Amino acid sequence: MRRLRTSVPFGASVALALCCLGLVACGPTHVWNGNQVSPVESAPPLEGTNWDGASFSLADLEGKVAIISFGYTFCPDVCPFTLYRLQQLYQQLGEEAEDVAVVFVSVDPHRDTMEKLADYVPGFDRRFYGLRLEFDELDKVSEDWDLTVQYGQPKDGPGTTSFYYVDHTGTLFVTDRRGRMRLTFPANATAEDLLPDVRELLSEGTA
Amino acid sequence: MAFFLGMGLATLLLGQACGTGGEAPAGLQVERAEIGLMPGEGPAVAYVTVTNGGGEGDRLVAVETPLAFQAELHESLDEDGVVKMVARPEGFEVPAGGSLTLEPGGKHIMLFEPRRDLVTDGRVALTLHFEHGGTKEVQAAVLEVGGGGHEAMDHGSMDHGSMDHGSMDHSQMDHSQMDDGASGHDDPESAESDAAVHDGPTGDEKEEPGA
Repeated sequence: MRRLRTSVPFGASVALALCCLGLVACGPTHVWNGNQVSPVESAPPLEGTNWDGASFSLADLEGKVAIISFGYTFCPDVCPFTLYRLQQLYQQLGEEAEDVAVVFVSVDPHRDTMEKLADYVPGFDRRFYGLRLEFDELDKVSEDWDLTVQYGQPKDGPGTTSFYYVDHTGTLFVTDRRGRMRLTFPANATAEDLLPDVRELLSEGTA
Repeated sequence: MAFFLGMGLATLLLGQACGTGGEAPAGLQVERAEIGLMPGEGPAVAYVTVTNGGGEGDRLVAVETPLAFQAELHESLDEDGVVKMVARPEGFEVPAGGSLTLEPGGKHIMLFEPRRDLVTDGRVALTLHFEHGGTKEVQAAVLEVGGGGHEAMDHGSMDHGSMDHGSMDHSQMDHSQMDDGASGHDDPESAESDAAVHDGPTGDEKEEPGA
């Protein structure tokens, strides 16, 4: 910020000052739909294996806006509709989607094998990342991202291999082009909720 | 319904649940019934809207469909950002003079081990059991949630002619940047897995869903 201010020409500084005093009309300021994260800091690390077998690190995405969602492929109600809305967001972004990464992180490494993720995530969009983390890696990420991940009892009783739920943080996390955590949205946010905020973050640039 | 309108699915869904009569009293009407199949082989989900024009409240207590090995009534809850799923074996109330709406992120019918091969013309039978009102069978519209990534599969078992998928999720397939995105995703296995035939247990449901 400091550097930016010193580089602003004098006239612009005056205009800015007048603007702040309400003496001249200001340009439209963006009203965020998402919850702004404060203070603005680098997103915690996030590393795992993508559905195509490639290693993934959130840090490698710098320059892009990233939307991170935690879930599991056996979740029939919330997770797929979150991904569906992110698919819609991609469609609405058009070519701008190239600068927006969608990262789905499985919280269920036991059932979400690489094969399952490869069947699931690209079914929404092949450009989406779908990460599998080992349990110890997931523990670390849960701590760093302040996630809740809680495995339910199998449906047919403890010790069986039957279906179980995973209660998990459904919040969508949005990072800016500089890799900083900026916004969160509830799990049921629509593409229309996300679009203006994502466009605003894209317009901020990388410096 | 507002949620669906927001999702742009309304055009697909409205008017696709066609009641086929049944034993339910005139008071109960199934206004809408749709099933969402997810990419891969995980559980599917069904949503309905039931109105009750009668003077007595009722409950939706069980659901059956030949599509799934098992159907259960569930509810998703969002508690301070943590998404939870809760079984509701006691069912859902359909108040007198009111309605019951199942929709994403809330009350829903979870369908275990769905079989895509039992979908005919984009529809499948869904039988709703009510505490007092008997049963009501409808033909639910079946949608591929996200289906855009599936090039090989969708067209085998589903009649896309009955679904306005052009407005939904296939437009991205034409995108030239599809393969030069994030990390050059290439998935040589997807064609294989897409074509996989579901062979899970189906209980005693052998009939093709009637039309």
